Amino acid sequence: MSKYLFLFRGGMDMRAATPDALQASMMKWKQWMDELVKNGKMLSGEPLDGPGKVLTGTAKKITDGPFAEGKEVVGGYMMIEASGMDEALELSKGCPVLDHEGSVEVRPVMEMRM
Amino acid sequence: MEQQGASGAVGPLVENLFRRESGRLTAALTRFFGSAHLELAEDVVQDTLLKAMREWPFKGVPNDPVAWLHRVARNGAMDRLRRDARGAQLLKEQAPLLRSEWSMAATVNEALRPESLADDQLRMFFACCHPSLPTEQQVALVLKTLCGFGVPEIARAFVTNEETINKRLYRAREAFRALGHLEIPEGEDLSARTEHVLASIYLLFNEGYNATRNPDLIREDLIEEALHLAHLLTQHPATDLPDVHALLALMLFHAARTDARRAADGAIILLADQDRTQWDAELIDLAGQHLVLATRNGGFSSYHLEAAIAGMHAHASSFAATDWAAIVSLYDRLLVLKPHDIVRMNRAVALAEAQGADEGLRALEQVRGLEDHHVFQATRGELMRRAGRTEEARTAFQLALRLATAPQERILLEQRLAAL
Repeated sequence: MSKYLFLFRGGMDMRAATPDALQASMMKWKQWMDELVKNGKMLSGEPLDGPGKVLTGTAKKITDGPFAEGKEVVGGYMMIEASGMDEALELSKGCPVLDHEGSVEVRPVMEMRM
Repeated sequence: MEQQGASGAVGPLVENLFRRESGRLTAALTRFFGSAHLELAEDVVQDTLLKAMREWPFKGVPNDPVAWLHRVARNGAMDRLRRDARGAQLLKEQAPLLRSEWSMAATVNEALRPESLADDQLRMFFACCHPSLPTEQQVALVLKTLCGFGVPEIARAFVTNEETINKRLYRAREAFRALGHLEIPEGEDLSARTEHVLASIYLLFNEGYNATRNPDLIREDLIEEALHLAHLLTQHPATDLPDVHALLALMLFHAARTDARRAADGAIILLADQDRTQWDAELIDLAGQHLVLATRNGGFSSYHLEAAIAGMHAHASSFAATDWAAIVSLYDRLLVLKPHDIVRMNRAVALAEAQGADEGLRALEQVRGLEDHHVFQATRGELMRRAGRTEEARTAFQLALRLATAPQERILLEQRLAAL
């Protein structure tokens, strides 16, 4: 079993979303995540609050980040367990962020053997 | 990470929880902030829903979701008062209690007490239905702020585009902001203002009930919201008025027939052909109770008469057994209060049942101004057919077919034409 990091970007325009749409989306996220938990795939995860800051280089320059548009902002992350990239991708396919043209970045976590 | 919520069993959420609480919180916050700060109230509510949307999938739905939303909204309100430029402006306008950090929490908690939510909704309702706003703007604002519907949903409900609804809401908000503090009117003002409120409820209901143009789920939502708002009025001593019960009775008598009016394939089933065992006996019973309450203290309005007519239909064992003569005389009285062409047309239909198609046609021919209405032409066609004037019936049905837009109505008319 290997670990994979899911990074969620974009998705529905939540500030403009109606209460019904928000509740429906919330339920979809919940169902998807409940399934991951039930199957023992979920290790951890959290939504991220925005907006953040970016610290750059030796000058430690602080900026509001390179986010030109909302869809480039990481809205949350999740650590899951899967047998390989294929399974990790399969698990990510149910993510509701995809319903609104958002993206899931799937990254294998490097295995470090002591 | 907390997983007990996500994995633990949580009861199913009420389907319209976000929408319902959005309306209640917007009302409470707007009453607290004042009408000029409607947008600020709406922002706090949106923040609250967003927080729930992002946290609940991870942490699980709280045991008491309503209490959770209200607590987050109270904290959100304080946060905005401290940090938002509009909040700062509001603090300047508001009582000194809010200015001190020490007394702010107590003031906000007091202002957003769960016990005062129903009152807040009523105040909001009266404000939305202020006479300075045209009815269509009133209803758009009610649906948006009080019922928690979004612009796309309201546009679908009124079969128009989002731009039109946005314009209505924009104008409505301008007038709304000028109202200041939201109050339930008193004295003579109350009855005049209640008329506006009832008119907007009835419009809401009719949009949901009559429009077959768009078999969207929101239609049933509109009926439910109209009933909910009327019920809300009966819960406050100032607005627990005979006319309110009459309107509620009227709507319930109609709502009892909702399922029987539509076939499985969505086709319209006319009153004469409806399976009366499908009518909801509980709703009819409830409607009857409200009609009794409506006649306390000699209450009398067009809603009373319309409820009485709907009640005659609801209690008739069959179409043939309906007391049409009594219904005609109720329409006669209704015409005195509401001299509308639609009422005249409906009276003509009842007259045709009571005294024959020729009498009905004679009454119908005196109705002016509905010639471009497909229901009027379809009614003419039907009465012509019964009077044996087949060719005139065909012309009327063909005209109705040209005027009708809803697919179900067109199907019905085509069947009528084919059967001639």
